Amino acid sequence: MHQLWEIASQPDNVPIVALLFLMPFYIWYAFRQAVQTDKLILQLETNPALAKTHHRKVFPWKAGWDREVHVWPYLMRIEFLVAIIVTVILMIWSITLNAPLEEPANPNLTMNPAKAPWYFLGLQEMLVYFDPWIAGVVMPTLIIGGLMVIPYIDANPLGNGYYTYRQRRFAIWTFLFGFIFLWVLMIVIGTFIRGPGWMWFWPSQTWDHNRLEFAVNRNLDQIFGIDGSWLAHVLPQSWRGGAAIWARTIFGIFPLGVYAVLAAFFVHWLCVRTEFSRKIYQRMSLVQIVTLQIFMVTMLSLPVKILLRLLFRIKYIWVTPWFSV
Amino acid sequence: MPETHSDDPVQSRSMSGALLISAFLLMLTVAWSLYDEFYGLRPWRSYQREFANVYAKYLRKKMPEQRDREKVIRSSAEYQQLKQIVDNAEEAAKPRLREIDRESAYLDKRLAAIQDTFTTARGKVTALIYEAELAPLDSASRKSRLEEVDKAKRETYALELPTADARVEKLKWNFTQIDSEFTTLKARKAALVAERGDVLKAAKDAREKRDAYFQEKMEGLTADQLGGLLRAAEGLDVSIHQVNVNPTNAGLNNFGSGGLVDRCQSCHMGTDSKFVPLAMTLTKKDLGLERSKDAPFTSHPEPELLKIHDPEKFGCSPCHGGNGRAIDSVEKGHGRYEHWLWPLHYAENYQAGCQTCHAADMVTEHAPVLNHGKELFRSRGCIGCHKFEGFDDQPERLLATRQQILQIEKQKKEYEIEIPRLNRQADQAPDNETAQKLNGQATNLAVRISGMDAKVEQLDRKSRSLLREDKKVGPDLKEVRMKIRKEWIPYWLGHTHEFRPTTKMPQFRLEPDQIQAIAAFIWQSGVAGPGLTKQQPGNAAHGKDLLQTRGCLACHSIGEGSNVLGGTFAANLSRVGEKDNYDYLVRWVHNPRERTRPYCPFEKRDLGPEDYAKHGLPFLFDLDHSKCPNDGHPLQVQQPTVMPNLRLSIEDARDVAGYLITLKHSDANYDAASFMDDPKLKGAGLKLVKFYGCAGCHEISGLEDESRIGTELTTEGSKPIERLDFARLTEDAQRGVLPDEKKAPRGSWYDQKGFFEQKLKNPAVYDKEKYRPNPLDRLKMPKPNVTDTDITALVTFLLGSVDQQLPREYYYKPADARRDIQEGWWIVTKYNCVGCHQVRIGQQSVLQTLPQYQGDNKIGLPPVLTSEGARVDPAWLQRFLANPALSTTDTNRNGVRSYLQVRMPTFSLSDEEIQKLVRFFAAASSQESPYVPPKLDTLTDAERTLARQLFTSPAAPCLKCHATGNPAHDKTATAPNFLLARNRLKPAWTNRWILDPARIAPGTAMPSGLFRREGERWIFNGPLPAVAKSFTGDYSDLLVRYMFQLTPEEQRMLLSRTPAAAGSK
Amino acid sequence: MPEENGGKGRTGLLGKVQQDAKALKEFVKEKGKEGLEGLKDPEKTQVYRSIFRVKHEDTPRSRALSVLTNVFFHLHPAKINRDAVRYSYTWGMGGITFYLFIVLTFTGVLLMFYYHPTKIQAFRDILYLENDVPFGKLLRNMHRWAAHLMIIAVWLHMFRVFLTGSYKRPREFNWCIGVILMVLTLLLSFTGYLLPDDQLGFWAVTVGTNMARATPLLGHEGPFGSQLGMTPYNDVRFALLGGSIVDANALLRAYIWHCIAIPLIAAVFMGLHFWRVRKDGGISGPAPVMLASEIKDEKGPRPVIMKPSGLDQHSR
Repeated sequence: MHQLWEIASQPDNVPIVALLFLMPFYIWYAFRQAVQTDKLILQLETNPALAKTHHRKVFPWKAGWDREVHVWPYLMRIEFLVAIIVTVILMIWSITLNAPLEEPANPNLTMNPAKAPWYFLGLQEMLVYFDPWIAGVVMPTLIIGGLMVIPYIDANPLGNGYYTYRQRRFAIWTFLFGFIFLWVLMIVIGTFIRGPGWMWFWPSQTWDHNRLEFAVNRNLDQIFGIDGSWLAHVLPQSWRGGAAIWARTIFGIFPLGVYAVLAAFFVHWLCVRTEFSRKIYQRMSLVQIVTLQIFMVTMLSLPVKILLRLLFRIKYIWVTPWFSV
Repeated sequence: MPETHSDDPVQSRSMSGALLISAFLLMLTVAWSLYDEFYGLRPWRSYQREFANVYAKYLRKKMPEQRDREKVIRSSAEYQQLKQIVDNAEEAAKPRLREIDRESAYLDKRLAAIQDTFTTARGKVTALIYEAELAPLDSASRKSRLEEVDKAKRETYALELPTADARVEKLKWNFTQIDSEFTTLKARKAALVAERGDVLKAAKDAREKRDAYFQEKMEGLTADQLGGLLRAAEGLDVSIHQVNVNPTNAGLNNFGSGGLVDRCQSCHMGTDSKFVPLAMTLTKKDLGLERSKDAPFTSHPEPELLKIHDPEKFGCSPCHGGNGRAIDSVEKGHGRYEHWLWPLHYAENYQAGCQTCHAADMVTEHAPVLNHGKELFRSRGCIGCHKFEGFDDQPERLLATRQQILQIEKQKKEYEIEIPRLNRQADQAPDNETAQKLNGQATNLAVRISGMDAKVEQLDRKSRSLLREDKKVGPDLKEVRMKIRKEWIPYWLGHTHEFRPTTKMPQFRLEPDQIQAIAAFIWQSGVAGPGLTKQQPGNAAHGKDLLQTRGCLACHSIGEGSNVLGGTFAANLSRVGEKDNYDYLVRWVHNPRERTRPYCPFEKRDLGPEDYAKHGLPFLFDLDHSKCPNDGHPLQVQQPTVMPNLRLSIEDARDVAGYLITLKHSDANYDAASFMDDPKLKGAGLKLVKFYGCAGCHEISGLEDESRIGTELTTEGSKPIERLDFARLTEDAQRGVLPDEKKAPRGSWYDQKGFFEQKLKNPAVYDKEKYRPNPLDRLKMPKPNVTDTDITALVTFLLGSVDQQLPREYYYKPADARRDIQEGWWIVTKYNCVGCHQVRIGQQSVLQTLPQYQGDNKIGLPPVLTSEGARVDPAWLQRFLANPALSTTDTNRNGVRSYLQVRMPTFSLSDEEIQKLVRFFAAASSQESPYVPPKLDTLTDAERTLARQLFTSPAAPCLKCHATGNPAHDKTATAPNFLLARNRLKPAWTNRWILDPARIAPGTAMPSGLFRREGERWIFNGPLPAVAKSFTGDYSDLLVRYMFQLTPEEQRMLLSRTPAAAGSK
Repeated sequence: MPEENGGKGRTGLLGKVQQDAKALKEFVKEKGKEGLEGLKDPEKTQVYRSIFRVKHEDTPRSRALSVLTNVFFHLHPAKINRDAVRYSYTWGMGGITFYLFIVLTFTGVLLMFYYHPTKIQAFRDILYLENDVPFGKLLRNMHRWAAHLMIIAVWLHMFRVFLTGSYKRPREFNWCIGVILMVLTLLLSFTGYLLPDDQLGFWAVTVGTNMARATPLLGHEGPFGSQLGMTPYNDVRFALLGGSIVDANALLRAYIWHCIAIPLIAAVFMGLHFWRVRKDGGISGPAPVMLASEIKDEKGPRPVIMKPSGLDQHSR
């Protein structure tokens, strides 16, 4: 616990601690409204007559009330209020907590653990499971790209401009999974759990710099004992040398392929589970479906790899002379 | 158009409440931030206020005391007397003063009266003259204008001038008269003013005398001065007090872009000489504040230091550490927080600050703790394993020199092959030109080779002196077979500190089998012979006497437990009898440097008679015969010990050894150690000996070139904490739990200080809770034999040993005489000169502390060297240090003070060392070098006769005490021979000496007051012989000149005349 | 006036004087009254008008004008969906983010007065800020914490926008801009991390940029990087740091990116973002719910019908 406090009390970690409270709150806040809306939706769907007349909002409404209000003062006042409150919070925070300043930079003295800024810790955590080129470059690109294509692959016209759950189950789950589980959670792990040598320390454990861990990580092909001996027979004499490498390269493609297919089917299954979702699925153009699949499959590969690594200590699935996955 | 609906929640809801509250909160936070800025972050404000009033209180209390003091002094007889003188002088001056004043008053009046008229008249005349000058020479107009001038001069003015007898005279004067009158008045006035000064002089001088007396009698400041301080304290304006230093290369350490800014004095106001003058000390008690942590107001404990390190130039943090800029909290300011690399030194280690800049000094004034630390680091053999810049590095330098030599010789060989080849080519050359060219090249190479020989010869010289300087902390283990009792070795390895509680040797943590292996290796690697000459037993009683009188105790100690007697520089001899072989001991005492076999650094082995035989040479090696018969390079012909040769006769040596051999515990017996000869153990032993770095302190065959095994410590103090391996103790250290589970008084000890302290207390401590089945995996640093004070000293030394972090000009790297002092101390301490001599004023030699040299026996002490540089001729000192017997034949004596029991030993120093020592003494008594002996004018016969008579006069029979070389007479002599003076002494010093010896060497046997001042000259203080009448010169000078021109015959003649000496005949 | 009291001698004169005096009094009183009027409602004064152009009354028109005629406010529409003013819908995160950006600019500019992006001075300057500069500590703290807060705010903003499906037609593109802005925010914070030149920043940035080594094709440790002749001295990381290690150049680059380049870019995108919010029909909701039954089942993109939000509600 002492250690946990150590970390949590680090001025720079305050935002993460704050995040720990803010996220749940806002999720709850959003879903409370979603539930209300969904009640209304249910009501309206069962009662078309009402649907004709109802103003279709959960908020109270009386005929004759303005449908619109003036920004001044009705919005402005809120903005001012918020601005003031934020300022107050910020100032109190700044008076009570000092921004960290450590020793002058010293290239010869490596910090252990050397951590990236907290908001990138998710990616740094990914380094455990993937090579830097994936965790550090490909993933960020995919994340940005993925976020950007969302509007274009989401063919569901419903739930535009109001909180709802039943009308967008798939979308919301996907996003929650991506944002909360794959991003925020990883950050939390990176901050509180990862100690010296980026080793896994439970909050109760103290960060011992001399701690040693023994872990052999094997590649999938090693488990299957791929040494290219069989390939050697087929190959011309001059190529024999690289047999093992080629064998691995080729072998690696299969598990990936298998995974891709399975994942794709899983995603497909998700998309056609309910009659409603089928309807949405219908609306999607081929391009949209493909894009959706690509991103979904990649995203799902993260937890899969994490599990493979943590449970079966598997380092690489696919080993090639140039890169490994 | 829609009006707002009162029932519409969106529109009708009012937010003014929320807005009001939040606005109010905003106000509060703003106010808070303001408070924080002006008070929260400025604790020094309250400190300053508190200081102001406690200090004021103190001053108010003090002022009356001081005033009383002053009264006492003022009422003292001397003061009154001086005051009387002043009053008299003033009285005497009064009448004349009165006249002067009266007259000058009159002059002033008269001048005032005449002034205006004078200026008008003069103005008129000068203007006309100018007009005239404009006109061309001897022109009509000029002439007429000159007449104008004359007219003007003749023109008269009406004057009313006061006269001396207070009347007013009406005059009609022309310009000339006025002018002369005016000038005379002026002149007179000037004269009066001057006279006034003369009249007052006597009184003025008397007054100065009186004040001077007052000053010296008055301790502390006067009431008025205190009053000034009090006013300053009362009117103190609360503001930051800071020192700004703008060094040339800012940017190092915590020197900001604006240079160094130290605001320490914003709270530590007592150290600010603006408030508390250096002359004044301010203690917690004075201020009535026992806990200074709430009120850091005491004045600087060492004002002396502040005088040489003016805070305005040095600041505070460069010496003390801490974050000089930060003043928002104590811990910030003291830099005692994570991430600040230069925290404030703790009180017990504050001298670490000195080391930062004085790393090059072996002895630093004002820093005893640091000095002790350095001394320990060297004498306890830390240096044997840990390299440290500036400390003895002869092994490394020797190695380097040897490499160079080998290099050159290789080159030389190549050339030697090349030459004939070139010649051959020349013979077959197609044409003359080429032939000549080739031959030319050949000759050049030949010349080059000769040049190389010169180089090699130089390098050999160098390595010869290095071989002389190269000393080991521990004894030469090649000699064990001759020296040591076999069974004792394993016991010693296991019970080092039990056997000899004062030993320098650390206790290694060895397993029994390791001990056996090491012991066996040491034993088997020792040289076997040629065997020692068998010695007859010596006379122990006489030996003991010699031991105590010859000065052995300056370094060695005898006796155990509470009755230890002697110095700590070398081993305690109380149990030597249990381990040493008598024959060897005799040889050792007779000449400790004597080796059984010489060591050849090129062949890397000890040479035996056979090697010499090969070349048909006798097996003879010493400092004069140190050439290797095989390769001609210098040999190590001495044992690497600092113990000097006391030039005892072989008989005396036997007696001393005979005594030493009796020093043993009656119950001493050691189990047989048959394994010592087991060849199987040798290999294992060698590994271990290498592993534990034994060769760092001992000479061991096969390991002469071993390098130091420990980490270099030159900048250990600034090693990042992450690099110091607290291992399993890391967490405890951070939580302030000591290895013994006690709470650390200062809380967390996770810092350099903590690490060093624990490591030195118990070098194995960081193996705690570690699994190390193989002893070779454990921490190998042995347990040093140190007390807690020693540890503090060592830690201080290490904490101060940091990498360059201050601007260059901070470092003490003098180029002038002070550098000679710096270097000299390394030698002085290396050979423990301070064991026998007092070298620095205030320092005490070991001998001075011994009981047998108290009271009248002080005469038996070696000379005090505080003025050595001024006393002796450097050239002579050089000779003396090389051969203290000042004789090659009769060596069993002191060269200068043959009458002294204590023996100035032969250190066989290297030339460089001697040079350094000579320069050291010269610099220490601020002598210019090189020294050119002054020419003394030869004595006239009259002078000589007078001098003779004085020399032999019963009032001061010089030869009564001073040695003459006549054995009969010298038995009673207690002072050096005059014949030495000519080459040895400096006349100026000799003069000072005979005038007042006690001033130079307090407690000397030489009588003071031999001369008395008479007018401008010193004359002999006793019945003057008749011849003296004619002599008008200075007596002391005369005697000095006589002394310096003394010849043996002359002296013999004198001796016959000396009454006392004659009596002793 | 002469004809009123013509011919009456002294009294007339006296009366005239009295009259004038009274007139003067009247005059002064009147003027004084006007003055007071002016003070009573400053909106009538010339100064006020010159500044605000319209006087403010509680009429819808003037309310609208007060927004429309104000350069700062006119980011907003004159009127918005009555329920959109509810905090529960927007969480105000977008606004907070923008506000924090302003705070950061403000504090940042002040900090720039005291900071030199050089190896020698950077760290000292922070010490200087902490110990010497009035309010320096507060300034630095506020800058740091505001930056962290902004990141959180951005994330929550994105979260909210997603949950309300506000990225949907017609706001797809604005969502993309939003994503870019988020990335820029992270980059801003990251570049600022190095500036104090202390261990924390140094290693954080080292770790961060080390990933760039592994960029496929462009990093010397990335896939096919070496095959394409990438070395530590010509790859993308070198470009980022202006060197193969984090050193003076990296510091300078971080400084320029942090203080000039990214803020400019971000400002542009922000403008775009806000503008699009308006043009895409104000904030997305709270919109009336749409029912599954009402989905028109034509595929592919539909033409976007641009209507100011809120007016399209009872269009059926």
